[in-house]
Amino acid sequence: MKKNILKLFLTITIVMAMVACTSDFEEMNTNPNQLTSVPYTSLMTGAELSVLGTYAFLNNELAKFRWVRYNSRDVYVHQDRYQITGEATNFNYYSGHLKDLKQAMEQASEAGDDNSLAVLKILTAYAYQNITDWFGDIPYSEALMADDPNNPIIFPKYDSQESIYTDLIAQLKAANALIDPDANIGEADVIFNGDMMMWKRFCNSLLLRVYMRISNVSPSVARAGIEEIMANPSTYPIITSVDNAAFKHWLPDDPIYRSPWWINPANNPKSLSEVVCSAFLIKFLKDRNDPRLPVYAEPALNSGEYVGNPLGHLGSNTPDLSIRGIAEFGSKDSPTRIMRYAEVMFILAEAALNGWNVGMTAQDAYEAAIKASFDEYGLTGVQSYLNEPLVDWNGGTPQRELIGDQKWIALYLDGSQAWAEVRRTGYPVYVDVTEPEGTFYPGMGTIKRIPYPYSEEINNPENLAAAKANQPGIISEKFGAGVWWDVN
Amino acid sequence: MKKKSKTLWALYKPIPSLKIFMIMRIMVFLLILGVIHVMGKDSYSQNTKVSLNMNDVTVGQVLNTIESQSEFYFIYNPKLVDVNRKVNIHARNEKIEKVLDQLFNGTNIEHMVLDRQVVLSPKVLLASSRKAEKRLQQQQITVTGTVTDEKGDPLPGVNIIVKGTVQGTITDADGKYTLSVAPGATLVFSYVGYKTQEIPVDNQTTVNVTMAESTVGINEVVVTALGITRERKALGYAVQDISGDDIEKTAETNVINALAGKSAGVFVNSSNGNVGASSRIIIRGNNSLRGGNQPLFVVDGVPIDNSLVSSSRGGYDYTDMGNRAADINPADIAEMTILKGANAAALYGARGANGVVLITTKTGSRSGFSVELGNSTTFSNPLRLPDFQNQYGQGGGGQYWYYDGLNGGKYDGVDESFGPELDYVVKAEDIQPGGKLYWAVEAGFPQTVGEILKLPQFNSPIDPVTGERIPTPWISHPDNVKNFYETGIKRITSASLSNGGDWGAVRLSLTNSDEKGMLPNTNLIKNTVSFSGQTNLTEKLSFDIRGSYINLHGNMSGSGYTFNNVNMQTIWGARQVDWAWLKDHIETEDGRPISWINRWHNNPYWIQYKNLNPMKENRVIGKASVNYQFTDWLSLMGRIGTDASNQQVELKRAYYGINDKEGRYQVTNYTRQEINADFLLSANKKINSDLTLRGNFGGNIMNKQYREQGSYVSKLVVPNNYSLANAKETPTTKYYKSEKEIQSLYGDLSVGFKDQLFLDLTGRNDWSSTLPVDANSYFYPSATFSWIFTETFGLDPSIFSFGKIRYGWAQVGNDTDPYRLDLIYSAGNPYGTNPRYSIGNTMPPLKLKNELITSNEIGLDLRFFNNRFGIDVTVYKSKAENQILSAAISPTSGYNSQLINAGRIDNQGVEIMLHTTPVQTNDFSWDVMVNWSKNKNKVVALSGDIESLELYKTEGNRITVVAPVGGSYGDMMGTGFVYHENGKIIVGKDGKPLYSEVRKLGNIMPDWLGSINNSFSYKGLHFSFLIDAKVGGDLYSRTDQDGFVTGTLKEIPGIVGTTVGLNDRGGEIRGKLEDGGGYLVDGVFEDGTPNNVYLYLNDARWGLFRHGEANLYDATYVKLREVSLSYSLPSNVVSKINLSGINIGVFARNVAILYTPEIISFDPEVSNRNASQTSQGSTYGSPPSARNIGFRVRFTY
Repeated sequence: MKKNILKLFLTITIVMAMVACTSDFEEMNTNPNQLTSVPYTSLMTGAELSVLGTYAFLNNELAKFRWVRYNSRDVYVHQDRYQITGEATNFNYYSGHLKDLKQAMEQASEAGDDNSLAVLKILTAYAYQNITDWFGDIPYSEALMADDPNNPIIFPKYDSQESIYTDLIAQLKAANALIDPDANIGEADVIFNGDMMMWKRFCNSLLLRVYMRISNVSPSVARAGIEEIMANPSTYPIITSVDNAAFKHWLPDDPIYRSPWWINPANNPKSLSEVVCSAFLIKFLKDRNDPRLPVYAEPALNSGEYVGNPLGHLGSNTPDLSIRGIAEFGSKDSPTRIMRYAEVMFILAEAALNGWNVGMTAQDAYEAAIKASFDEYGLTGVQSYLNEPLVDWNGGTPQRELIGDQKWIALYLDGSQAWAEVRRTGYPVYVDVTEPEGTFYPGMGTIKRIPYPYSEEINNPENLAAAKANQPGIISEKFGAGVWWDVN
Repeated sequence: MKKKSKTLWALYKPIPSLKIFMIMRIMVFLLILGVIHVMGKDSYSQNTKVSLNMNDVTVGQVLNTIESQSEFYFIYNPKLVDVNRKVNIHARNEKIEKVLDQLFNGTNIEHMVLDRQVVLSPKVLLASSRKAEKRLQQQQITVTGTVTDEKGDPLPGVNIIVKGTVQGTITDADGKYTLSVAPGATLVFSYVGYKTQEIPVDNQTTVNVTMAESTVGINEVVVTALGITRERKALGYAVQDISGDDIEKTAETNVINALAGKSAGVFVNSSNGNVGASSRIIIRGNNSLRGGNQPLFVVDGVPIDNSLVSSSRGGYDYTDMGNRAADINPADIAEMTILKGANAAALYGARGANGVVLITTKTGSRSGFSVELGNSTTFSNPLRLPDFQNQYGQGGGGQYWYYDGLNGGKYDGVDESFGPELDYVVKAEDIQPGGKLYWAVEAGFPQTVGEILKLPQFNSPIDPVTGERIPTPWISHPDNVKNFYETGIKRITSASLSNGGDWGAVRLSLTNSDEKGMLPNTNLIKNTVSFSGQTNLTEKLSFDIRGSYINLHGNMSGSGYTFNNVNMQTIWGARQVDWAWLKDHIETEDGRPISWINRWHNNPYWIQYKNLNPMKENRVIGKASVNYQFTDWLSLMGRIGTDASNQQVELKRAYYGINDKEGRYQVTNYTRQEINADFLLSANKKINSDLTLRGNFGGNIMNKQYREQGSYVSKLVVPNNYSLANAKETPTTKYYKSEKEIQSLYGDLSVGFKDQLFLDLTGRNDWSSTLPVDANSYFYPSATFSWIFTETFGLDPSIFSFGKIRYGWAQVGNDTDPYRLDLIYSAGNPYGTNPRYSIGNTMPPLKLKNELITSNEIGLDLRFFNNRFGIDVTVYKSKAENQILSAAISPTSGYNSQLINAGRIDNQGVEIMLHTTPVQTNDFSWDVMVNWSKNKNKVVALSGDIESLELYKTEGNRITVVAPVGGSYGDMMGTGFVYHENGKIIVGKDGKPLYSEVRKLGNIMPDWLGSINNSFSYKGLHFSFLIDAKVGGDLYSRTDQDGFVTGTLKEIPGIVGTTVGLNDRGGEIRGKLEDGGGYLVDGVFEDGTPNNVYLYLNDARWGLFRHGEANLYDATYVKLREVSLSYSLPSNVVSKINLSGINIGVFARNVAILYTPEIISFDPEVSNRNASQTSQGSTYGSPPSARNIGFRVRFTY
C-alpha cells in the first residue's frame, strides 16, 4: 500500500509538471526561420527590384511589347492573337511591392526620412499608373488596408481612373516637395544609388507623363500641370539629357542581378528564341532608313537580312527571322529604361503642338526627341534622318502623327508605355487598328485593356461587378471601350 | 452435414507407423461413438430400412447410395477397405446390418453400426480396438494450458470440449484450464467473437492456445482510442477493423492502398502506379478547409508521421517521394482499426479529428516457438494508357522535316502532331506542283509514287558525303509509348521468429521489399526489422517494448506537369517517334543526349537513366510501456514512444539536358521527430452483478520537431558527378526548423449496466504551443450511449441474434501549425550587399483561438440467424467551426491570404456495413461483406462576408477549386460552354464555342462509395474478390486538354470528340477547309441553327476549348479492386515436412476498371502530382496506375 501511495504521488507530480511547463510555449512558437521585423530600407530595395521587374520588363503573359508590334512570337502565337483572359492575370502587385512600399512609407515617415519617403511615393505612383493604364478602374483608396487596425478592409472598392490620376498628381507633387536634391540616401536605393536629384528629375518627368496621358480627357489639368513644371525648372527639375534619364543599370556579373533582358547565347537565340522582331517594326525602320535598325534587331541567321514576322503569324522559323538587338536589348548590362529623355521631349513636342507654353517649339522638341533617341544608342546621322520624307516635320505627314510614330519607335520594347500611347494617340495607325493575323476575336479590333483577374470574381466579386458597371462598353473583357483616358 | 465423418480423418495428426496410426484412430472413434451411443436415446439404425437394387457396381457406389438415401454415414480407411470391388446387391426394406452383411460377405471387413455412424474395418483391427476401448478409458492424460487472445491477454470463460463428446470445461479468470482426455483427442476451443480452433492433443500435457478474433463477432474486443481495448458491443460509435492477413494477402506495400474498399466511409486515392507513389485517405469527408484532412496514424499507441515528401526544383520538375505512413511494414501488422470521426477519436484530441488509423503490430504467441517465412512476387503493368492517334506525325500544317530539332528544319522544333500523314503512300498527283506533298519535293526530298512518304527524321542516317540526313519512311509507331513501360516486379520476403510462454512473448521479424517500377530505372528497396517483447517482471509489473527500424532507398520517377515526368512527354511526344530506337541511342559518345526534338524534350530513356531522383530514409518507430497492476481492477500504464526519421531526397540532373544544360544537384535532408510520453491510470470494476464501472485518467506530452536542410547547385563543373563541391557557383542553402508541443490531460468514464446499457463520457484538455498564450488551453468533452436491446428483451438468438442502438456526441478541439501568429518578412537574394525583404503574403491573425468540431452519430447494429446476416448502419453529422484557415483574399487588400478563425463546414453521411454468410457448411463457406457510404459536405459559413474560399487551382489553371458558402468543399469553378435551350452548346459566328461566366462545373469529392467483397472458403482453399465503386466527383484532365492541342490523342471524350479521321462531309478532320476538311464543333448558333463553320484544326486548336468544362470528366468508376486465391495445405501433408503450415496464394490488385461513364484515357483514380490536397481533381500526364498480379507463399514452423 505504501508503494502504491508513492506511485500515486509520482503520477500527481507528473501531472503538475505538465500543467506548469507551458510557460516556454511563447518562446517555442517564435519563428526561428524568418524575421518578424526588418529595416524599411530593405523593403525599399526589394520593392524597387520588384517594380522594375513588373512594369519595365518583357512580360510574356501580358504580351504588351508584342501587341504594339515591337516583337512577335514565331510558334506559340496564342497570346499574340489576344488569347488572354482573367485566368492568366492577377493583382499580386498589390500584395507584393505595393504593400512593401506602404509599410516602408509608414516606417520612413516615423523615422522622419523625407527623402526615402519621397522615393517610396514616386515608386508607388509609378506602379499605380501602370496598373490603372492596363486595367482601367482598380482598387486604390481602399487598397492595402486588410491589416489596418482602425478600418480593416478586405474587399477594397474600385476607384475610377480619373480619381486615381488626380491623386497620382498630388502624390508626385508631394514627393517632389519632400526631396532634398543634395541628399543621398545610400545604396539601399538600387535604382539611382541614393542620388535624390535623379529622383527629383524622374518624379517631375513622370508628372509630365501623367499629365500628357490625361491630355485628351482633362486638357486643362494637363496643360496647367505641364506649363507649371516647365515654368519652374528649379522647383520641378526634369530629365534633361540621356545621362540623367531614369535608367536602371544592373550588375552584369551577378547571375541573379545581371540585366533581366539578358539572352543567354548558349540558347542560340537566333535559332531558338521564340520572340522575334515584328514585320511592321522592320518595315517601319527600313522605310525611314532608320539607323536604329541594327540596334533594335539582329539579322536573321539564315539570310543575314532583317526579316520581321507579322504578329500572330504561325509557321515561321526563328532562323529565318530577326531577333531583337542583343547589344542593347539582350546583354548582361542592358539597362532597364524606366523613363527616357526622348520620351520627355516627345511629351513636350506634343504639348507645344497643343499650343501649350513649354518654352520651345513643337518642331524643336520633336527633333530634340529624335536626337535623344539616337544619342541613347550613340548613333549619328540625325540630321539626314530628320530629312527622311516620313520623318520630316514639314514633310507632309500630319505632325501629331509624326510625334506618335517617332515616340513609338523611340520607346522600343517599353511595352507598357508604348501600348498606352498607341491607345491614347492612335499612332502608329497600323498598330492601333490592325488585328493580329489569326486573331481569336476577328472583327473585335485591337486589344484595349488587360482583363481583370478571375480571382477577383471569387475574392472581391461585388466590387469588381461595380467596377465593370462603371466602365460600360467593355467587350469580352478586353475590347470595346478603352480605359478612361483612351477616348481616341 | 451428412458427410461430416469422412473428413474427420483429416483432422488427426498422422503418426509415422500406419498401423499404430490406424489403431489409434479407430480407438478414438470408438470412444467417441461409444459416448454418443450411450447418450443416444433412439437408435436410428434400428428403425431405418434400406432398399437397394444394384448390379455390377463398386462397393463405394453402394455406400454412397446408402448415404444418399439415408442418414447413415460410413467411416473407413480406403486403404484397408477395398471400395472398388464390384458387387451386385439387392435389398428391400432391410436393416443396415443385413445389407452390410451381404455387401462384405466373404471379405475380412467387419462393420459396426452405432446409430447413424457405420465403421468399416478389417476384422482384426476392429476386434482389437474393441478390446482397447476399456483400456483406453483408463489411460487418459491430463492436459492443462492457457488460452490467450492475440495480444497475449488471458481469456476467461473459453469453452473447451473434447471433439465429438460433451466432455469439456471452461477457462478460469486467468485463462487457464485443466482437462482429462485420451492422448489422441482433439480439443475444440470456442469463444463468442473468436474463431473456433481445433487442436489435437497428441500426448501433449500442455496445450496453450491463442484465440484469433473473428471478423464478424459480437463480443470481440476492439482497440479504441489510446489503445484501450473494449468490447465492441459496448461502444457507442462505429469502428471497423481489418486484419493483418487481409492487408498482407495482396502484398500491397502502402498500407493506405490496402484499405481501399475495405471500410465504409473511407476514401482512398492512390496517386498513381509509380514505385513509392503517395496515397491519400479521407474518412467521413473533408472537415478542414486548410487541406490535409488526413487521419492520424497510430502504431501501438505511438502517433506516427504521414507527411508527403517530394523533391522539386520548381514547377517544371517534380517528384513524388510518397507518404510516410507507407513505411509501415504490412507483414508486421496484426490488425488495423479505423476510428471514424470525432466520436471514436475524441480521446486523441485534435489530431484525431479526421479519424484515426490504429495499427497494432504482431506480437509473439505465448503458445511457444514458431518460425514464419513468407514471400510474395507481384508483377505490375499499366492499367490504362491514353488512346493515341497514329495517323499524323510531328509538325504543323501537314509539313515536317528534321534538320536539328531546334526549328532548323520544317517544324522540327514543334512538339506537336499536326504534321504529314503517317504511313502515307505517295500518289502521282501529290508531287505535282500544288500537290499535297509538293512542299517535300520543293524542299529537296524527292518522293517515289507508290511508296511511303520519305522525310529526313531525327534518326535518319546521315549521308557521309553531303552530311545531310537521308530521308527515311514516315511510318507510325503505335506502341511506342506502351512499350516504354516495363513490367514492374515487386518481391517481398519476410521472416519472423517468435516464442512465448508464461514468462511473456517475443517476436523478431525481418522483411525485405524489393520493388522495380514500370518506368525504367525506378526502384524502391525497403528493409524492416521489427521487435516486440512483452514480459511480466512480477505478478503485477509488466513491460511491453516494440520497435521497428525501417531503411529504404530507391530511385523515383517524376510526376505532374514536369519535363522530368516522361508521362508528360507522352502527351507532347510526336506520334511517329520510335521510342525503341531512342532506347538504344540515349546519348552520343561525348555524353550529349539524343532526342527526337532538341528544343523541348530530352530522350525519355535519358531522363530515366540520367536524371535521377534518389531517396533514402532511416526511421525508427518504437515504444516502451510499463504497466503496474495495483489490484485486479486498478492499473497504471506509463509509456514513451517515438517516431524519428531521417530522410534524404536528392535530385540529380545530368549535363546537356534541355532544362539544365550544366547539370544540377540538389540534396535535402528531412529530420522528423515526434516524442509522446503518456500515462494512463485505468480502473475497471464490477460493482455488483449488474453494474460495471471503468475509467481512465491520462496525460500526454507530445513534442514534434522538424528540420529541413537543403542545398542545391545549378551548374556542375564535372558532368555527372553529384556533390555540392562540384559547383560553378556557391550552393544555395535552405534551412527550416519547427517545433510544436501539445500537453494534454484526459479522462473517460464508462458505466455498464447488466451488459446491455453502456454510457461513456470523455473529456480532454489540450495546451498547444501554436496558439496565442491567452487562448492556448481548450477543453472538449464527449458522451456516447449504447443499448443492446436484444439482451433486454431476451430475443431468440437463432433469429434475432444481436441488436444494438448507439448514439454519440463529441467535440474535438484543434490547434494550428507553429509560427503562424506573427507577420513574417521573406528574404530575397541580397542585391550586392543590400538586403532585400518583402512582407509575407499571409496576413497574421488579429486574434486566434482553437478550432472546434462537434459530431453526432447514431447507429444500429443488427445480427440475425446466428450472425449469418448482419447490418450496421451509422448516420453521422459533424460541424467544424472556427476553422483556422488561410483564406484567399483579394491581393488588393495587401495580402493574398489571411489567417482567420472562420467558417463552418458540415459533413453528414451514412455508412452501411452489411455482412452475410449465404452458405456455411463445415467445409464450405461463402461470406459477403458490403460497405456503402455517402458523405455530404456543406460549407455553411466562411469569414464575414466572404462568399467563397479558394482552395487551389487544378493543373492548367482552368479550374479553381473552392469552398463556397452554400456549396461544398471542393467545388470546381471555371468557365464553361453556353448552352442553347435545345441542349447544344452555342458557338459564335466563327464556329467557336462561346464562354460562359465563371460558374460551378463540378466537385472533386465523390457522391458515394461502395464495395462488395465475396469470399469463399472450401477446406484450405480461400477465394475472394473485391469490387469497389466511387460514384461522382469530377476530374479535370489536362492530359486531354493538351492531347487535343498537341494532336496526340485520338479521341477526347465530351464535346471535343474525335481528332482524326473524316468529318461529316467526308473530308479529313485535320485537313484544309478548301479540301472539304476541317473540324466542326458540335453546336448551334445563337438562333439554334446547327453550326456549319468548319475550322482548320491546325490553326484553331489553341484557342478552341480553353473552357474549364471542356476537359472536365465524371470521375466515377467501378473497379475490380482485388482478387485473391489462397490455399493452406492440409496439416497432415505439411507435417510430413516438419512444418505446421504452408499457405500459398495468387492475387491481383487494381485488376480492371469495370465501368466509367465516359471512355476516358486515364484511370480516374490517378491524381496529378501526388496525394496532396492540391493534386486532387486533376490529372496531367499522370503516371498510369498499375495492375498488379502476383503470388505468395508462407511457411510456418
